[in-house]
Amino acid sequence: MSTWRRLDTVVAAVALALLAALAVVLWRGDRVSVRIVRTAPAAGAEAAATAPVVIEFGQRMNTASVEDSFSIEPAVDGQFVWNANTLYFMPSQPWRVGQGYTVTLAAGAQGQLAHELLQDVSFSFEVRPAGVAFLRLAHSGYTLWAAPDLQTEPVQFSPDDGVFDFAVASDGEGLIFSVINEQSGVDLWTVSREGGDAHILLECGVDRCFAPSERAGRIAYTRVLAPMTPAEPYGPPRVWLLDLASGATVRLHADSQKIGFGPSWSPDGQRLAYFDGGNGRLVVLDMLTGEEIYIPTLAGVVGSWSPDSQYMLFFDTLLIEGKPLNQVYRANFSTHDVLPFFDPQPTDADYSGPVISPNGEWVALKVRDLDDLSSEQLWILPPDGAFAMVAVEESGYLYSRYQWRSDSQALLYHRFQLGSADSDPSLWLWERSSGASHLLARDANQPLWLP
Amino acid sequence: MKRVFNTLSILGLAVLGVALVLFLQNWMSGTVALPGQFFTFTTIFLGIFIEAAPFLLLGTLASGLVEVFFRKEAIQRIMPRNRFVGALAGGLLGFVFPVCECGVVPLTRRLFRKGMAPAMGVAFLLASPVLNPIVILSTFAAYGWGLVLWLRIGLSLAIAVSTGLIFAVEEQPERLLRPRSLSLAPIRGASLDLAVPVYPGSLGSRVRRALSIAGEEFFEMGRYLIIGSMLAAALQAVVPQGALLALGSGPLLSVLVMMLLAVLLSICSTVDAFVSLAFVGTFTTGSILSFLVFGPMVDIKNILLYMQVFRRRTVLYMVIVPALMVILATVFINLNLGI
Repeated sequence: MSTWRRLDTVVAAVALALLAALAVVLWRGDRVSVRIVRTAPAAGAEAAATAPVVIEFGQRMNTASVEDSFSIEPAVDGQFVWNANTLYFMPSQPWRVGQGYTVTLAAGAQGQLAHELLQDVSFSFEVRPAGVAFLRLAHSGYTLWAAPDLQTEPVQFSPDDGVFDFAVASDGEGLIFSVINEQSGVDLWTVSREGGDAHILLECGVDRCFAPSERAGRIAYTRVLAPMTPAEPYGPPRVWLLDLASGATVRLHADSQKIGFGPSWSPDGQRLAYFDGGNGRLVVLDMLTGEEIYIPTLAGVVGSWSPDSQYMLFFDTLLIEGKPLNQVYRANFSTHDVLPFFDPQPTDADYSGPVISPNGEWVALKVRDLDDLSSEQLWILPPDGAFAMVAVEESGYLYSRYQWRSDSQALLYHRFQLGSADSDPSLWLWERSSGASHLLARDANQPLWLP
Repeated sequence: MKRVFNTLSILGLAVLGVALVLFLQNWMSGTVALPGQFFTFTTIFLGIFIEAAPFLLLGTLASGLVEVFFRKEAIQRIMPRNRFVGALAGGLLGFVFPVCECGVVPLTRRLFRKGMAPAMGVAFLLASPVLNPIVILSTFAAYGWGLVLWLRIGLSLAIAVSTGLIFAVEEQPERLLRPRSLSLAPIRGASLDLAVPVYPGSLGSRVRRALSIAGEEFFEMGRYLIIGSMLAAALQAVVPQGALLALGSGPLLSVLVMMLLAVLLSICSTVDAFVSLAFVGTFTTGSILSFLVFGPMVDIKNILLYMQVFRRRTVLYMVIVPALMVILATVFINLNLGI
């Protein structure tokens, strides 16, 4: 039975032929190429100064291979963030307004499974100047308004009133806002940068979803679950995540005992900070490792991220001789230490709301004389606090929501008068070059740059 | 019989050896309790066996009915004379006998005895676990009317027919089959004169005879199903699936890993499409197709069942030839089709 038969010969020949054909197929290699689903900013379009470069692939990629093949002309530093098949390049500093950039992904970038990029992919974009968005009080609540650039008149973006708060998408192409619905819950909506296509992003029913913060295709938001019966109070707030590509939303922590609100992404999208009111602390969560850093504070707001995401300036409320006093601190995520911003800590005034400029060279903060709580000053100082200059000071006015322009040369801020029935909340722009402020919009609240 | 029990003994010892290794591994780490892998093993074993047993029963029932109700010359009359047509007909016979990979073995053995040509029989054996209405519907439920479904059907048919045609060169079918497969005693006291109706008598008595044949055959083949399921379970308990999947990158390696996984998992073709959904996005379409096409043709329990019908060399060819064809086709898909 062990003699060599015709069948053995045929099987051997077929096997050899199949192996030869397989060798040819492997030798010819990949003939398909990695598919690029989309790139952003759109080729030839104007982009926000804060926009990440986005490349979505048709499959899982070898991240190191893609990052090695990635280049930008003129060269800029930045961080790579991956969300499934999508690469986000976050520039360390905002793009320069008016400058053109060309992004190239060189051939050879490899997929994890089978294919590689067979040809260079290249696209260019130019950076546009920023506009501004804000809330305006209507009959029974706030409406969302925006001006895509500072030369045009603002127009209403939200279909109706009832807007609770809003955020601007990191690519500047849209706004995300929360709106009270008919069930007394709060939904998340989105609207394009030009004000069109306003629609619900996340229906929350009787739950309340608000305080969105977007980075790398993920929105972190605060969600308060509705009680089982109307007689019961609403539950504690928790941080949730919404994936924009899939529409899936999940609680940030599986552990329902972890509560928090007001999430804020780090500029590189790797960390998420929120305030844990139950324990009186900020929680900074590393999204890659799951490591949590706790920063005790009673202020109830997340601080300002440094451009490299390595430290945060925040303020805490202390009790000095029975009186509350705000002081500024620096939390370093590399060394895990929290140090006073000023050394020694001054106790003659109240310092709060530090905001770091996009280039990391300046800090704006609010100073209030302990003897005159009805007036505030906006100070500008370097990150080491070595010296300070007063940027804005008007008797009887308070300031909030101040934030740097992408070139770190101007400050947008909200001004209102305390104790006045006709306080006229308004938006102003302070420019470093002139040291002067000018009015941008009246009857406006909670402003944000619209890059 | 002696050789069969030798094979069984070797396989039984192999399973016991694996269990012993697991126990010693645990004992050396200072625990005398049964290792966790043992419970994994029993769970997987029961899962595979319970899933496959009904289909084996279905196959043996079909085999019994064929034995009792179909005469050899009647079957030979409708067999295609042309080898290619015969192989193609064998590939599509699953639509007449919708049996999965466990049930098809006893039925094929019975059809060989009734005079089915090797090309047709091999094509039927390899194709019918996929080319039957149940599996096509389950694949549709998992993937919809997309390329995965059509490629699964097309590749399974093409590979089964091609393999069948290779076996058609063997002019003497008995050289492919174990002698016992051809001289299979239908039932005690039955006539072996195949020119006359095999089992005269009333319909009720013929059905009883068919059931009796099916019962005997079920217990005969069932032993090998148990051993095959135990082997598959033992290998899954020892070889972590995660470690295997971690290797699965690249156009060729991902295909090889998925084929190996299909062999180890030994999942019935009626449900394998749903299992493979877990790998979508992690593995290429080509490698998922290799899982869906090769798994129903060859897995651990199948090989043991094949060995009850075919000679060892035939079984070896029935594994190697489809494996090479699946590798070639799915690597080609990986590198040349953007799906």
